[in-house]
Amino acid sequence: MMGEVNITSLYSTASQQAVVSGKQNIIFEDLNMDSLASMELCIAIELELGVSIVPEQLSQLSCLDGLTHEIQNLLP
Amino acid sequence: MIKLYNRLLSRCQTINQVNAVHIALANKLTVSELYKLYQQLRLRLKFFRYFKFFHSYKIKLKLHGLSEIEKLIALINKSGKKVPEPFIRHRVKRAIQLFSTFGSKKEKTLIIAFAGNAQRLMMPISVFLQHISAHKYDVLLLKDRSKNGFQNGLPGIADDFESLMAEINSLIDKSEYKSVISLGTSAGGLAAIWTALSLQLDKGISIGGCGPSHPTWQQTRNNASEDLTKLFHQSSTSNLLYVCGDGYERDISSARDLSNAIQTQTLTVFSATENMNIKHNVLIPIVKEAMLTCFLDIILDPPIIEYANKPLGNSKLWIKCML
Repeated sequence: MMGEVNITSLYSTASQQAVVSGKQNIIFEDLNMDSLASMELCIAIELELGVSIVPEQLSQLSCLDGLTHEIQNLLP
Repeated sequence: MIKLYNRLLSRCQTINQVNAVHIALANKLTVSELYKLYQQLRLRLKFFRYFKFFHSYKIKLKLHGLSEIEKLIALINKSGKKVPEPFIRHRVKRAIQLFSTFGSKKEKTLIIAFAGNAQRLMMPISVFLQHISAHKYDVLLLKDRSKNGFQNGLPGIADDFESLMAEINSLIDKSEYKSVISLGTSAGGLAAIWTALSLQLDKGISIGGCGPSHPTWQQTRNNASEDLTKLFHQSSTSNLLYVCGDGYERDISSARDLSNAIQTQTLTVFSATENMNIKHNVLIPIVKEAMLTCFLDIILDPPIIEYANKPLGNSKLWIKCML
């Protein structure tokens, strides 16, 4: 099971690497994303990966792990 | 306006692309422009709203766009004002806009506003403008697309923050206004405080900004906290305010960090009800409680008298202000 990271520790390179490598998870509630941030995240995912996830779908995913699985399912 | 809007939307093929257009519009349009667009769009899409089986995907995207504009109008209407504030947008330079009625400035306060990383003052610009009086305020809005707290200056204007402050000083004539203050939200917060001290403004306000120990400021200076303390002692400006929500530890720490370097008042917003946590975006809950006009009246006019817990109008929100 992935460990969970304290969001403020993401400033450290080690934590960032752990998240990118999949060893640590991020809980979305800890990010305190408002509706604008959710929209911008969905826009960035669509621009970078060509995968369309809308903010309503994002609100049903609780963590980064869930989001990456959803993106993998939608990738051609 | 409607032609430009339709042209922008005609290129959109997904909900996210429509959202991107609306985010950009929300960061730019004045209240009058937004109302005009809304009226024209509502008229054009009236038929499709009632006859849903005629919806092509393109029509669905347009209806989604209309619903986003309606959400914006709902926030604007929280001001309780029957007419739009008559601000006109003027491009001063790239990334600097002036919102003004362009009448006499003698009775006005100029707000030099530093937007956060989302290129806004914690809300669409039209919402902010509708909650202040166009006859009392002009707003000079600066946006940093590099999202580095204005430390890189602004492209085509200044290469670093110090040069940017010099450029701002050359753009404004303080003697033309009754008073000049600076206000910054989030990533623009400390820039506002620093500018108030450097340019000897009447007040500096940071809403959810970082403290001088933040990496963004430490990376461009040997010791940002010491520099800020020195600047404070050299400056004639002493009216400095930090605003944050009581439910966001990072901003509370930033308030402490700032107070350790210079003398600031800290105004905390909290809710009287348990299920409402005031976090980083402290202004939107205030808008939703229809209290933003009242709140801005308190923080924009210097000085604030210290007080313990006090309700914000008759809303669920309370404020306390301490040195």
